[in-house]
Amino acid sequence: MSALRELAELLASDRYSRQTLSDGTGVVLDLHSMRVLSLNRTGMFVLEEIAGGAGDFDTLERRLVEVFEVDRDVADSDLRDLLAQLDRHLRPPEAL
Amino acid sequence: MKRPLVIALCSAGIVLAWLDHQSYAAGQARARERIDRYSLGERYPELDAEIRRRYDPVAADLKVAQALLNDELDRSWIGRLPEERARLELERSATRLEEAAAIGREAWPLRPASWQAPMVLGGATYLSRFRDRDPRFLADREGWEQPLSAALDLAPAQTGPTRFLAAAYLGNWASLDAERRATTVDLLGRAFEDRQTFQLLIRDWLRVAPSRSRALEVIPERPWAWQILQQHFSTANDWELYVRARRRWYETLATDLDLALDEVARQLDGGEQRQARSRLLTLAQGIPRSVDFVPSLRRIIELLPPGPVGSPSAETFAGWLDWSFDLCLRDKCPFDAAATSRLARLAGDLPADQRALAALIAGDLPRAELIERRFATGPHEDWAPYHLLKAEHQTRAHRLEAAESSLANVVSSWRERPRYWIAVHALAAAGDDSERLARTESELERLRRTSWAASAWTRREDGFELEIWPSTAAAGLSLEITGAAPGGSVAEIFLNGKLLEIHRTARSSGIVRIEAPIPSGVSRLAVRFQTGGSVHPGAVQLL
Repeated sequence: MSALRELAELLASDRYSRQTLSDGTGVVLDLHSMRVLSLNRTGMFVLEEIAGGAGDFDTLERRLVEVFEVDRDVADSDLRDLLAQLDRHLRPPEAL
Repeated sequence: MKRPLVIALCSAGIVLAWLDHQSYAAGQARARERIDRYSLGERYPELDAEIRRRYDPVAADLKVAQALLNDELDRSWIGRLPEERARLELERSATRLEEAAAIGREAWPLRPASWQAPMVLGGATYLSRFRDRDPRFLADREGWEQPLSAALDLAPAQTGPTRFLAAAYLGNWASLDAERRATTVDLLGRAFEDRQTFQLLIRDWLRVAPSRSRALEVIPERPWAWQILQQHFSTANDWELYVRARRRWYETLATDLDLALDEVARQLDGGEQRQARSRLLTLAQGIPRSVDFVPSLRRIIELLPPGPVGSPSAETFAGWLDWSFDLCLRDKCPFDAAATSRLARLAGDLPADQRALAALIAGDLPRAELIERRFATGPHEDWAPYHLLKAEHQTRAHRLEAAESSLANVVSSWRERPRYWIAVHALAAAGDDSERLARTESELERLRRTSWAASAWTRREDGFELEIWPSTAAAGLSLEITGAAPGGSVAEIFLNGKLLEIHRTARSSGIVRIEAPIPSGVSRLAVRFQTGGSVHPGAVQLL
C-alpha cells in the first residue's frame, strides 16, 4: 500500500480528528497521544486531498500548482517537506 | 431547474435547519441542566446568557466545563456557604472535576482546534489526580500534561494553559528531570508576563529556583513584578534580593512610564480626555520623587487636561512641589515656571509660604508679594526659603534695597547656613561692596567642611537630611551608620534629589562608601528609610 493511502486510512480511523478553520488553516488531533498538529492553509489543503483519495504524489503536486498558483518546483519541494512532516507526526510508532 | 429537484433541495434545507435547531436546543438544555445541577448560576450570573449566545452546543458545553474547573481552582466560594451546604459542595469536588474532564474529553475530538477542550481536560485531570494522590499522577503524567501542552500549542497567548502547566510543574518540581525543569523555566518566562499568574506562582518558583540569581532571571521587565518581589523579600527580611528588586523596579519603571505616557498622548489625540486624565493621575501617584523621574512628572503635568483633582493626587503634587523647592534653593530647580505654576494649582490648598514660593519661582512676583503681605508675619523658619530666593531675584533685578529688606526677613536660625551667606555674597557683589564681599567670603569659607558630625543631621518624617557645603568638589563620601534595626533594613541615599545608593544594613553599624561626584556648592544629602525599620546616619566624610 502506498504511503499516501496509508495516511488516508490513518486519517479515516477513529484515532485522528481534524478541523479546518475559517481561514483554511487547521488542526489534527491524535486522540491516543493527545498531541495536536497545526497546519497552515497549504498543509490543510493537502491533508484534505489525501483524505479525499488523492493517492499519488503527482496528483497532489498538480492540485497544489492549480489551486495555489505556484511553480511546479516550489510545489514539489513544499509537498515533500509537508509529507515528511505528516508522516512524522501522524504515523503512530506501531505503524512504522 | 426541474420543479421536483427544487422541492427536494428545499425540503433537505428545511430538514437540515430543523436538525441544526434540534442540536442547538439539546445543547442548551444539557448546558442548563448542568448549570442548575452545580448551582453555577450563583457564582457565574452571566453564564446563562453566554450559553444562550453560543449556537455551537460543544462551545456551550465547554463554557460550563470551564466554570466547573474554575470552581475547583478557587474553592473560596464554599467557605461562604452555610455549613451543611458547604459540606455537600466539598464532597462534590471530585464530581465537578470528573464532569469537567468528561466534557473536555468528549468535546476535543469534535473540535480539535479548540484550546478550551484540552485545557479543561488536562486541568481537571491534573487537579483530580493531585488531590486524590492518585498513583498515576506522576507515572502517567501524560494524562494531564499532553492536553495542557496541546492547549498551550493551540493558544500560546492564552494565560490559562500556561498558568496551569507552570503550576503543575512547579508543584512537582522535585520529580522533574532536567529537561522538564528547563521547559518549566521557559514556560515561567512566558507565564509571568501575566500579572495574575505572577502573583499566583512567584512564591512557588522562589521556593524551588535552583539559585537566587536564577530565580530572578525569569522575572519580566515590568515594574509591577519587581514591586511584588520587593514586598515578598521585605516580608522575608531578604535585604540582598530586596535591593536588587528595588533597583530593577526603578529601571523598569522609567521605561514603563515612557510607554504609558506615549499611550496616554495617543488617547488624548483621539479625544479620550476623561480616560487619559484618570490614567495620568494614577501614573503620577506611582512615581517616586527623584531627579530621574522629573521628566516623567513634567510630561504628566503637560499632558494633564484641566479639571479638579482628588485629595490623593493633590497630596502627590504637593509632595513634588515641596521637593522641588529644596532643589531650587540649590540652583537646581527641576521644573520651569509653567510647570511649577501648574503643580501649585494641582496641589490644592498649600500653606501660604509654599504658595508664595511657587508664585516666585513661576515668575509671578506681584502675586508672591500679595500672599506675603497677607500671611507673612515677620521672620519665620517656614518663610526663610521664600525670602532667600526673593532676595536673589531682587539682586538679579538690581533692586538692592528690596533685596536687603528680604534678607532681613530671613529667620536667624538660617543665618548660620551657607545658603544665606551665598545670597548675601551675591548682594554684596551686585552692590560692589568689597568690604562686605570679603566678610561674606570669609563667612562662607568658615562654613565649608570636609566632614560633618552625626549631630548635623535633621530628622524628617521618612528619614534624615543633611546640608553640606564641601571645601572642594569630591569623588564621593563615606557615611557612617550608627543605629540600624537589629534585623537589618534598607535605606536609600539621595544627593540633591538623585538616588545615589540603595543600602542594606546587615549589622547595627557600618560605613557606607559612595563613589559619586560631590559638587562644591550647597548640597543636600538625604537618607530615606525604605523597609525593615529605621537607620541612624552618623558622621559623613568626603573621600
